[in-house]
Amino acid sequence: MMPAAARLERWRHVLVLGVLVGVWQVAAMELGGFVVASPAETLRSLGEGLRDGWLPTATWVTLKETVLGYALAVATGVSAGILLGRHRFWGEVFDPLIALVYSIPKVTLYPVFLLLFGLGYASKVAFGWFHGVFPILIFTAAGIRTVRPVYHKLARTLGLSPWQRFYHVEFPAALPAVLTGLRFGFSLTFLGTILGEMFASKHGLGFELMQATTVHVVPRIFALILVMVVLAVLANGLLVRFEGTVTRQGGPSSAARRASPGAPGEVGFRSAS
Amino acid sequence: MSHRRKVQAARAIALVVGLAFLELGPRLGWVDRLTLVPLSEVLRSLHAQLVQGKLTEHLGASAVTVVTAFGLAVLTGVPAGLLLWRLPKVRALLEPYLASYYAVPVFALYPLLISLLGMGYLPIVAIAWGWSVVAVVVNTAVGFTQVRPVYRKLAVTLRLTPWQTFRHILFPAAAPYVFNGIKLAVTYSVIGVIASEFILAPRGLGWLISYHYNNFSLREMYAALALVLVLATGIYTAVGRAERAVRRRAG
Repeated sequence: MMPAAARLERWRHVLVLGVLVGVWQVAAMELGGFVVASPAETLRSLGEGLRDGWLPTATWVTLKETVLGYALAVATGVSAGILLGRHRFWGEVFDPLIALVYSIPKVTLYPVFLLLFGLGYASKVAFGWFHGVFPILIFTAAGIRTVRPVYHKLARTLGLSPWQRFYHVEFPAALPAVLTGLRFGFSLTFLGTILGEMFASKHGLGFELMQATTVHVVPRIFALILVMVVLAVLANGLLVRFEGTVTRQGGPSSAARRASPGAPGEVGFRSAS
Repeated sequence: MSHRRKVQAARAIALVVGLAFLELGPRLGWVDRLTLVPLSEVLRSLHAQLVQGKLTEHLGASAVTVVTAFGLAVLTGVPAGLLLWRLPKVRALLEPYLASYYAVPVFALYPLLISLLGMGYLPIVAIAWGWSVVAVVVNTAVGFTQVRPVYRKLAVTLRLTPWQTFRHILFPAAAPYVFNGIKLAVTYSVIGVIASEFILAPRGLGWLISYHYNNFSLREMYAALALVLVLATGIYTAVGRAERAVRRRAG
C-alpha cells in the first residue's frame, strides 16, 4: 500500500496529464483539423501507421541509428572523460576547447557530416554520436576530478595499484556523475539522429515527419510527434531509474552532487536537489 | 616554465595542429577536396563575400532572429523561473515535465508551428524561443531554490528589506545558475534558428548553408558555416562578459 502522500502525488500527475489532453482537444476544436489534429484523430492515424507497417519500420530505423550512435558516444565519451579526468594537465589543456565545441550549434555542421559519411545510415549515426559524446565526456571528467581527496589518500594507504585505484575507488565514486552524463547524452543523440533524418534521409521517423509536413497530413504529423515524445520520455525515465538504483547501491553520491552544478548542459531539478 | 604557462603552450599547440590539419588535410590529399576545403580558401571566400555584401542580408536575418528569440527567452524565462521558485506546489507538479523537456526532440514540433503561425519569421522565433526558454526557467528556479538557508537567516538578522535581500543575498547566490541557463539559451536559440532556416526560410545563414551544399559550392558553404560559428561564439562570449560584470557588481 502506497503512503497517502505518494498516492496524492500520483493523482496530481494524472490530473496534469488530463489537463494537457484537454487543452489539446480544445485547441483541435478551436483551430480546426487543418492546424491541430485532435487526440482521437492522432490515435487513429497511429493505428493506421501500425497496420500499414510504415510506422514500425520508421521507428525501428530510428532506434537502430540512435542506439548505434549512442553506443559509440558512450564508449568514446567515457574513455576520453576518464583520461582527461585523471590527467589533470591534459584536462586543463583541453577543457576550454571542449567547452567551445560543446557550445557551438552542432546542427550547423550537418552538411560536413553528409560530405564525410554520405547520405546513408553512417551520417545519421555519426551525427547522433557527435551530439551525444560531449555531455558524456564532460560529466565523466568532472566526476573523476571531484572524487574526494580522502578516497585517494585511502587508496594510497592501502597501496592500491593504479588499476585497482581506478576500478575500486575512482570509478565508483564518479559513477553518479557519469550516469547523469549518460542520460543527457542519450537525449542529445536521439535529437541528433532525428535532425539528421529530417534534413537528408529516406528512412526513419524524422524523414516521415518531413514527408507528412510536405504533404500536410496533420494527424500523421501529430502521430509521429507523439511517438517521438513517448520514446524520448520512456528512455529518459529508464535512465533516471537506473541512475537512482545505482546511486543508492553504489558509492558516495557526493561527488556527483559537487560535479553537476555548473557543468555545461545542466538542466533539471534532479541534479540540484 | 610554470604550470600555467605549460598548459597554455600545450593548448596553443593543440589549436595550431587542429588548424593546420584543416589547411593541409585537403591540400596534401589526406582528406578529399570534395569533402573539406583548405582553411585559407574558406577565409578568403568569407572575406570576399563579406566585402561584396553577399552575406549582409543573411547575416542580418539570422542575427535578428537569434537575438529576438534569445531575448524573449531571457525576458520570459527569468520571471517564470522566479514564479516557479515562489510557488513550490506548482514546481513539484511541473518538475517531471520540465526535467524531461530536453529529452524530447523539440525541433520535431516545427510542423505544428508552421501550421499555427504560417511560414516566415514567426515560427522560427517561436521554435528557437520554445527550445531555449525552458533552460532559463529551470535554471533560474533551481538557482533560487538552492540558496542556502543560512543566507536567508543572515538577511533576517540584518533586517534587510525584501528588495535588499533579493539584490544582495538571493540574486548573487543564484546568479551562477541563472547565467548557466542563459548560456544554454544562447546555444539553443542559435540551433533552433539555423535548423529552422535549413528547411523553412527564404533567407538566413542556415538557408545559405543548405543552398551552397545543394549547389556543391563548398567554399561558400564553409564560409557561411564559419560565420555561424563566429556569430555563436560571439554571443556566447558576450554573455560570459555580461555575467562577470553583473556578478562583480552584485558580489
